[in-house]
Amino acid sequence: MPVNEFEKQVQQKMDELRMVPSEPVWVNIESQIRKKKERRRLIIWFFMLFLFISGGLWWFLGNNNRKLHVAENNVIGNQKNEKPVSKQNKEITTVPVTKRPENLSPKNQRHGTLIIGKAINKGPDKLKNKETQIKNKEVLARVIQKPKKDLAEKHPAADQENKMIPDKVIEKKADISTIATNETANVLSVIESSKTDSINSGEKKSIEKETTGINQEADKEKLSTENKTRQHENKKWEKAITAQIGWSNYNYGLFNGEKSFDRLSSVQNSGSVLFLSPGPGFYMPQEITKGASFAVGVELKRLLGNRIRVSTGLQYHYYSTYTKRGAAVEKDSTISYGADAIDISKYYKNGNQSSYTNRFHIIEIPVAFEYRLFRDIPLSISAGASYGHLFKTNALTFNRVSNIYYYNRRDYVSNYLNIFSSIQYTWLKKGKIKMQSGPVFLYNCLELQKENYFGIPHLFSLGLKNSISF
Amino acid sequence: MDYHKLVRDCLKAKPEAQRQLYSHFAETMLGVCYRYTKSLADAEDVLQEGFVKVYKNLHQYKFDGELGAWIRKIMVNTALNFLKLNRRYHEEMYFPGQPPLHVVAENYPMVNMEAKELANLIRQLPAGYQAIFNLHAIEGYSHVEIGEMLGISDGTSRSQYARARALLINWIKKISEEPQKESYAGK
Repeated sequence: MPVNEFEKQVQQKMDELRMVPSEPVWVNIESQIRKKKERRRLIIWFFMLFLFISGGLWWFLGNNNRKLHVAENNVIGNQKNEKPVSKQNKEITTVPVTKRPENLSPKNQRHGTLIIGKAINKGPDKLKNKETQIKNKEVLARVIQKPKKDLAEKHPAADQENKMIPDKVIEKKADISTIATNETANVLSVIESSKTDSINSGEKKSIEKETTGINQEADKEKLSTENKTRQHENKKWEKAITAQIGWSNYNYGLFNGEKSFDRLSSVQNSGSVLFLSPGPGFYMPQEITKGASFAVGVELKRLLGNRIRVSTGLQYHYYSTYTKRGAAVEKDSTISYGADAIDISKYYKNGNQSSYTNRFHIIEIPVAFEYRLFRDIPLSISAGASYGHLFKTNALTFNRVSNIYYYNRRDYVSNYLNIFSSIQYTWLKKGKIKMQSGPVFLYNCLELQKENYFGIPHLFSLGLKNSISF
Repeated sequence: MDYHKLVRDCLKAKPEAQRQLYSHFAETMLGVCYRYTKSLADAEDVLQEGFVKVYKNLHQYKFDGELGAWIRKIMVNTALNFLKLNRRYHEEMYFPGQPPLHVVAENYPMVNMEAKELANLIRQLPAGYQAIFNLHAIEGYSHVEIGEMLGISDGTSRSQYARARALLINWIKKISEEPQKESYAGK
């Protein structure tokens, strides 16, 4: 008898073996199949909820930015009647503000201005347009009652600081609350009138485009290969190169809501320089618009269980925003920044002659968790946080008193804490090589600047992330 | 039976089709699971887990082979996982250093017994031997493949298989001789 004859006989016998399973076996199988189906449904709902929240967040952020831009545009529009910037800022150090925009600086608001050694008194401006002012007050009284109170509560120092100004310098002490009221009213009316502005819907459309286009059938073929290598992947750190491209912009309050206009600067005494920033009249900066953003980096990924993957790495992230500026002036000047006076050798006038790109170069260390939504579709969502360090920037700071833009590295914080979320779709899987793409949203939780009268912005970016794993 | 339609209906999660698929293959597959385990309850556990995997991964079946063979492969893998994870089996899955043994040609008894009777004999082998015998003699895997599946060397697989085979032949011989002796004594 040949060696394998025995095996053949056994094989034949075992092929004949049939046994009837007990009824509970099917009952258990059925219940498990249904449970999985329900879980899948739950995941789909979770995914929909994620999209809804992301969309809502996006709308909220877009809305905030729009309001800010509209407000700025309108105020800037009001500045058309004022005298040329160059005349006002002949000497930044000596006379940063000698004339205010007419709309923002009513004639009855006599107010001290920044001086060195001596104060500038505009003279006894009498109230020539009393009727207009009374009417204005009546109309706006209802609207601005609360901000008025808030201002008084929030800035009790302002009134006190006014007292510090010598009587000779200011003939009549300005009523700080009246000034604040008018200032707030101006801003409120500007915001009110901007309701008709259209929303830039192009940004929203780009998100929709990125999240669509999933081809399920192609994934099924890839999944069989994925399952074979899954055990191997479990044990190893997967290496990946990532690249991200999109755009970035400022946001003025994901957590704080609207940016506040009611912040009043205070009188600061810095050595021999006495700074008194104005209450009601100030210059508005140019609109800030979105700029290009990209990131490149390396990642290490590891599976935690069947569906969750943890990743960390190192990446260089470039953010930018656009703004307009006027002519450049190369001149040694001193400018007030917070409590300090800083020296600058160059500044830009406020204007819209040319565009300027604020660039931020940041090194980031991200840590993220990725969750695969479906077994048969290689679609996953990931969320995480990253620490970032700003190592270079050319972003400009706007000085509302002097109505100029200047570069001040100290104004920008160095450390960043970002939160991010992305949807990743594996569209190519060949052996160990895997390529993923999908939209990514990143928000910097920490404030970008140390000081900004118009609200301290946060950086955020939206883009398309691509990664190749091996 | 139209397997294409059955699979398509199962993929559409039609309960009747799912039940039909189970009914069609359950008896054969329980036989497979029975050979790898030591009790019927364990075999049913493996069968249950295996079928859940079948439904879950049915979209991967590309009609490039027999559906029964595909399901059987899943059952075998599920059974092996069960053996690895179950403590009772796991202890018997290790193969302490034994001198290598090779299959030698000898006179084998004719396997004149019922399928279940033979399966019960296979189930009396130590779990490690049982698995290797099932994989090589019945499933037809090579020793290299078995080595990869069980995490042992192909030499160990060969040696353990030879021992399992020798034991089984011995038992079959004994069983086949016993009735003859009885009948002879009866005469």
